[in-house]
Amino acid sequence: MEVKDYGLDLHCTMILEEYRSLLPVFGKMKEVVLEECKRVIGETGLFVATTEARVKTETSLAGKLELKGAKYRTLSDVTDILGARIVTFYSEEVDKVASLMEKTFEVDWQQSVDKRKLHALDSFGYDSLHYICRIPKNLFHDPKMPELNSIPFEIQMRTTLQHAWATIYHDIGYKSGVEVPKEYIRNLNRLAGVLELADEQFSSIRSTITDYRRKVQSLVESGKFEEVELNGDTFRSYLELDPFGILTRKIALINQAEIQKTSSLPYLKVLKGMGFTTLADVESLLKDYSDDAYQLALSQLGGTDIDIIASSVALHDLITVYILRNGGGEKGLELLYTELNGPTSYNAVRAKQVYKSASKLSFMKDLGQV
Amino acid sequence: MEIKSEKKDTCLSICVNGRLDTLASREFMKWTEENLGDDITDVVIECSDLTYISSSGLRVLMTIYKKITPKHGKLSLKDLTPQVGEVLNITGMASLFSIE
Repeated sequence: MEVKDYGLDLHCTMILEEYRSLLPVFGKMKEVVLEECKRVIGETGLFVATTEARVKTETSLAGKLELKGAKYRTLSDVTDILGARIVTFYSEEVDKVASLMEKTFEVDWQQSVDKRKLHALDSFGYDSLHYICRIPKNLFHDPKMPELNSIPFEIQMRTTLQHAWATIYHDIGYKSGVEVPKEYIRNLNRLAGVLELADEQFSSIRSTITDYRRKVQSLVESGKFEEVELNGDTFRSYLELDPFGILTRKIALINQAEIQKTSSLPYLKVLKGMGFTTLADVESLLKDYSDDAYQLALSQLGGTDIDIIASSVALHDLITVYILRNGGGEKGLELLYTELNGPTSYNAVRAKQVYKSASKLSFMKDLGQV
Repeated sequence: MEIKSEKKDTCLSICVNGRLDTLASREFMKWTEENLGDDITDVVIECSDLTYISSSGLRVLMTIYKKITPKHGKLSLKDLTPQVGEVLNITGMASLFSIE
C-alpha cells in the first residue's frame, strides 16, 4: 500500500509510522473497550443514549501532528488515538458511568480532566468528563499484543445536551479552518449555560416524577386506594398486586383451565369511561361484583370442555356484570366492545350473544331486566 | 381442515376452514411455526368457514398473538361464525384480537 506523505518533520513522521504499525492493536483495543463499556453499563440497567468508539484516522492524526506535533514525544502522548464516548440522558448519570469506568479500566488521574469543573463560577463552556485509561491485564491480555495494556485511550462522558453543544462547537469553532470572531464564540458559550440549565431541569423533572411514582406505589401497597387517582401509572402498580388473581383462578378451576397471561391495561379506558376516578372504585367493583362475575363465567364455561382462558377474563366479566346490573343492557355491552376493539359490526353480534347468555342468571332476574 | 395463505409485505392472510379440533390444531401449529416468519407483523385469519375451535385451536391463536404483539402487530379474525365467536367471548380472548 502506498504511504501518503503529509509533509511532516522527521519527529512527527516517526510518530505516524508508529501509529501505522500499531493499527491492529488499536483495532483490538476498540473491540475490547466497546464491549466492556456496553457490558458494565448493561449490567447496571442504566439506559444511555450512545456508547461508541473510534480509532483516529491517519489523516486526522497527521493534521493534529502538523498543528502541535512538538508537544508529543511518542505516540503514547497522543491519548485519543482510541476514543470512546458514552452519552447519557441525565447529568447525574455521567458520574454513575464514570464510577463504572473507574472500576473497569485503569484511570490515569494525572491526565484525566473533568472539564465540568474547569469553568470559573461566572463562565460556561465545554462540559464533559474525560478519562485517560488503560486496559488492565486482568480484563484482557494477549501476549502477541503487549502494547494493548500500555497504550492509553480516552473515554468521554457527557449528557445528550452537552454532546449536542460540543458537536456544534467543534463544527463551527474548531473545524471550519477560519478563526471565528470572539463574539460568536461568546454566544456559543452563553448557549452552553442555557443547556446546563436545561440538563438540570430534565434531572429535576425526572426526580419529581420518580418521587410521585414511589409515593403512589407506597399508597397502593398499603391499600390506601381512596387516595390514589386512577391513571396509567397507578393502574399498572395496582395490577402488579394481582387484584383479580383470586377470581381468575376461581374461574380457571371451572374446567381446570390453563391461564394465559394477558394485559389488563386496555381496560383502564373502560373503567374511566364508567366514571371510576380512584383505585377504591376498582376495589369496590371487585368486592361487589365478584360473585356475579363468577356466576357469569360458570354459566358460560361450565358446559364446555374449554381448558384455556385469558388472565384478563376476570376483569372482563366484572365489567360485563357491572354494565348489566346498572342497566346498560345490550347497548352497554356493545359500547364496551367498541371501546376495547374499535367499531366493528361484530360488536353488536357479540353483545347480543353475551346478553342472551347472561339473561338467565339470577342477578339479572333479581333486577327484573329480563 | 384446509389452510390457504397469502403473504403481502409484512401481513400474512390465512384462510382456515372446517373444525379446528385437537388434531387439526396440531397441524395448524406446525404450519404456523413454519410460515410465521420474523418479518410478519400482522396476521389476518379468515374464519367464515371455521365451524369449531377447541382449546388447542385457541392455543395456536395465542401463540400467533404473542409472537406478533411485541412487534406492535395485530391479529385480526374475519367473519367469525357464532360458535367460534362465543368461545372467544367466554375465554376473554375476544378482547385481545381485532374482530372484523
